[in-house]
Amino acid sequence: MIDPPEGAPEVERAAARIATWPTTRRDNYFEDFAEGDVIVHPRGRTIGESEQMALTNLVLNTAQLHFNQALCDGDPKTYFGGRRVVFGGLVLAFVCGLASEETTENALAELSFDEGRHQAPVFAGDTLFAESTVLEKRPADRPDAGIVKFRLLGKNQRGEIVLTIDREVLVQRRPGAAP
Amino acid sequence: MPQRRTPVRGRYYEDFVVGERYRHHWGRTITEGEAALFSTWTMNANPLYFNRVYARSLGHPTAPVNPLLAMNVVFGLSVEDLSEQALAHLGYWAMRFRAPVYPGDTLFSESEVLDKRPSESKADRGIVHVRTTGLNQDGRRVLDYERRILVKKREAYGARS
Repeated sequence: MIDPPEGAPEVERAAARIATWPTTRRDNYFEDFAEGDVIVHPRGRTIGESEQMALTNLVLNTAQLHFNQALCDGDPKTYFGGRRVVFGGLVLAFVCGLASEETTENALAELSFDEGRHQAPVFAGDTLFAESTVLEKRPADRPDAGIVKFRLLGKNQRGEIVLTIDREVLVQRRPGAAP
Repeated sequence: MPQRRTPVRGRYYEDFVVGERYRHHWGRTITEGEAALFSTWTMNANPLYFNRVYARSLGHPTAPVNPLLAMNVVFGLSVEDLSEQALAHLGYWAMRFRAPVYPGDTLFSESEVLDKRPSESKADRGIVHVRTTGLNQDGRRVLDYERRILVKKREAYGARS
């Protein structure tokens, strides 16, 4: 097959299809959140052994309790019963990921995190789940977006809370909606 | 005379001085591939971080780096100075993302010791409160946050390492 020449109608139609591609969902704009909403995010994510070590090293975290089993074996009282704990920054990233399709897929920016606490350790083999509560909504300094404040919970496979954190996100308003 | 040396990395509780600032060594350039990889690896559904066409439609020159990767790198760079001898990282406060990070940017990290106190329940450890700031290659602040770290006391653990 030979591609049509530049400027041919089918070329313009093809480009127009990409320009209007439904890149994000249509049910998670600013208007779709109400204060008090609780969203139980549908997916879980098991943290693998090698990936937690790889990601820890990718971000240059040099704390050995994440990647030196001999250290943990040598002093189980100090190091979570001899188990390597998953770096908390990665727990936060995974929990945000699990929450993202319902909360931040149409976000323009992450603004802030606050009151974040790692309430229980996470180990390789644990499965993470996420839950978001809409604490507050307010206008932003631009007409096409608003600020949503969420309380984000990370839980493990036993339902124990491993992470709680409040976050503010700049979320797009539905295109064409009056501000 | 040649010597056999066993350096110990990381500060113990006693080593922290309130008011001191540490400029953490290394710095790290974030490439486009790892930025997209981190975002999709952690299942972040916002295409802003892995779809250049979409990012441009929102006014960005290219897909920005997921702020959670930027934060993890700034945090990681701080570990040798702050928490390599930590027993646990307790949490984060007042984390703000102040400027976008783009592929090719180089992140630097520095921290200030805000406060420290001995643990109330266990004599062998203390809590150190720090503020860490991430800077780009122009010295511009891209993010900052406070965290509290549960750190070993040298008097209790120093002989073990």
